[in-house]
Amino acid sequence: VTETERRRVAMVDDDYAVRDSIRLLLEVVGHCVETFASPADFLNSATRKPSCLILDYRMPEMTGLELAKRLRADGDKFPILLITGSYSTAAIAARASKLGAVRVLTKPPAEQDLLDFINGHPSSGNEPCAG
Amino acid sequence: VSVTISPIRDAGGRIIGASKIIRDLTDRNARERRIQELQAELAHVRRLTELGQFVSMLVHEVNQPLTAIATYANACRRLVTVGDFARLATPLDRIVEQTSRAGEIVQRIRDFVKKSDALMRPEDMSHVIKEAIALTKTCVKDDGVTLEMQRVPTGLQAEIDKVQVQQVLFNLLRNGIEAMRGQPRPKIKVATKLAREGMIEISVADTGPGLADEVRAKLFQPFVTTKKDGMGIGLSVCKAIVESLAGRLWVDDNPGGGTIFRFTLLHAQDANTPTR
Repeated sequence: VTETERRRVAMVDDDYAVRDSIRLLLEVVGHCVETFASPADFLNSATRKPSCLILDYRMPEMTGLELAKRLRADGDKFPILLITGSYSTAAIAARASKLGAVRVLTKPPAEQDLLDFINGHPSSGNEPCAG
Repeated sequence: VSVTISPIRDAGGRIIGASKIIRDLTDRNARERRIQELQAELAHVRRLTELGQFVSMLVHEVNQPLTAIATYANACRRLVTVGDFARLATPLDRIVEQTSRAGEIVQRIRDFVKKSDALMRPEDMSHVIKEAIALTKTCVKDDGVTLEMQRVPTGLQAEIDKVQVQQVLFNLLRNGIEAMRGQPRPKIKVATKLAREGMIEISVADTGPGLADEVRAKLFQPFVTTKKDGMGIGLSVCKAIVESLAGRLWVDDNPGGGTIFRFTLLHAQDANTPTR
């Protein structure tokens, strides 16, 4: 991707392999990625303002949807992608759409859907990628 | 009815009459039968719930390595496109690791299925089928369907896990009832016969509309369903259960119209008689 298309993507997933593989893919494409192993890690991080956020649905402590709600309540407006393997995807999507700019994809997500989500949002003018 | 007759004596102990109590036991028998039915129903619901939880857990656990494998592979393809071969080794190693992880999940499923082996014992097929029919009548709105068991050869026993076979029969009967909704004179016949090679064959024949070719082609595939609110696991579970009990499950057309599901089970006596 070009400099203007580069996004600062944050990702929260408790599964190392899923986290690591998505990070690699997005880095190969040219984005910069910061990963977190739990919702708490993300909430406590100093750099809580990514261009967009990718969340696993099923995590210990709180679900991806709960985390998305919390972020919206705190006034964070960056786009959020929820990835879910549950068969209640429709029920999750109905709740996610109420939060605004929250997309839901089923697991495993298609590469193009993932990249479309990231590229589909303008760079929010947050901090640039490090390095 | 039960009749109790007791003598009535005077203060000196002489019999001066008798009291007779006649009890109508219809109610009590019905109540006991109902309790048995509820217990069977409960066992069935518990199994379905366990299965549902198991499937849900499985979906999650298999999806994790699949997601990682697909994503690593996509990254590798992009690295190849840009000629960055030096970075390929690590994601390829990870793909191999994640494949083993998926393999371990498959092994756990095998172990889960194996647990049922311990419950195999000879069961009278006549009882097994009667109870399954009673369970179905209790749990499924039958819309006037006649459920009929043809006479089972006396003493015919199969070596099975009874609850599992009843689960198979319940699913087949329920499917049959649902397939015949709105049909005139709906009827399901359950027949049992001694088959070849030490097996018992059970058939469940309905008088419904029969199966369309495209439905038949995917009949036993899990998560494929024609029902609006079905999960598509009933028949695949039936097939898995029958196969775990060393039998086979298949489907035939009913010559008079409708569908016949047939499955085989191990004939219990076969273990005790020498092979000819």
